[in-house]
Amino acid sequence: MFQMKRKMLPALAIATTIAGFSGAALAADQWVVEANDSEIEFTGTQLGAEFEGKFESFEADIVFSPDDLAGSSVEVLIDIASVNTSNGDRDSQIVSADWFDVAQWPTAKFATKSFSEVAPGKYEAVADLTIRDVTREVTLPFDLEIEGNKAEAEGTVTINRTDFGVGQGQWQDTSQVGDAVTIKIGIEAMRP
Amino acid sequence: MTIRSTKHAFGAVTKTFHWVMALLVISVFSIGWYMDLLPLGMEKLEWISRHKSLGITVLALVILRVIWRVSEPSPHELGKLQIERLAAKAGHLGLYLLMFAMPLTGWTMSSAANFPVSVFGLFTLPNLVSPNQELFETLRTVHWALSWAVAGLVGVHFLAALKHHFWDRDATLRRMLPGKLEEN
Repeated sequence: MFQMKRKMLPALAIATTIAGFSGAALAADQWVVEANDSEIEFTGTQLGAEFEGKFESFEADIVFSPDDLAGSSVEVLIDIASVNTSNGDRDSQIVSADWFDVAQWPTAKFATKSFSEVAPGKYEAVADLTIRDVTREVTLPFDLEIEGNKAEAEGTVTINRTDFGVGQGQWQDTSQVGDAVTIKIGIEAMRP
Repeated sequence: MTIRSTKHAFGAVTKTFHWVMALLVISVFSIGWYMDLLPLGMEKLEWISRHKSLGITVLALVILRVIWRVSEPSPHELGKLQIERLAAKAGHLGLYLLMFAMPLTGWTMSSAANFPVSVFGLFTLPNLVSPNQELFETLRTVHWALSWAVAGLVGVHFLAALKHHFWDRDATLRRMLPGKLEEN
């Protein structure tokens, strides 16, 4: 019934090309993290009292689009040696063999497996978190605001340090150094 | 034994403050020196927790004690010479100041080290200063030096009590002991 005429072909070709381009435009965008405005912080417990620290150096490879969550992915490599808890003695403990063992495992890795939108501007990332030689799945809920070519994401996830072998030997005891550690991320990124 | 002190005798509250705090100060002092000698490990952290919690207890009690003290009469010093009585006043003032200074320098140095103070795991005190390594090291030295002042003054206090009891044979020591009101 439908018969294509020769003269329609160029139009079809153009239409296909546009569709192809818009398909490419739909694919998730690459983002570049603004290092100065981005932070990975954490709150731990020591002697029953909370203290805060952060990892000052990390790299993130972000491909993300709210319209293409299936094609989105985030991989973050955290430089463990860049830890700063405002206490030199504690920082040197954290990187030592009983804790993160930075000599063997200098980086922790966060790699997303899937994203879902739970409400407008609110998402959840299911990711593999690797610390030392242990990989576990974590779910990071985060708020995202995209304005023009600038994005801001904030999220919090609580993990148990002993699940990752952070704290060996006597430090597996969680009475003085608490098990739960809350990680807070605040990322600012630009779309080039 | 009456609750309040009179011009001649110590009341029950003051005696209780005195002996409970004497025990506490000796405990916190001993723990402080012991924990410092321990290698980094769970045991050290446990003793540091106890040291901080008991130290803050001293601070809370000395505040109550000072409020109580200024609201009741204090018995006269029993020294025969004026210089003795003055020395006693100065010594007691020094002990009070140290009961404030030790916990406050400890709390501040914990804050400077970003090691907030939890009191028996029940609640956490706010940090008095922001983290500052240099300030922490200064305060640690001050805290350590003051601990020697505590040892010195408590030693003098103890010897003075014995001197009054065995040399002067007055009621200085007896009237602070628990039991019936000792009139002097």
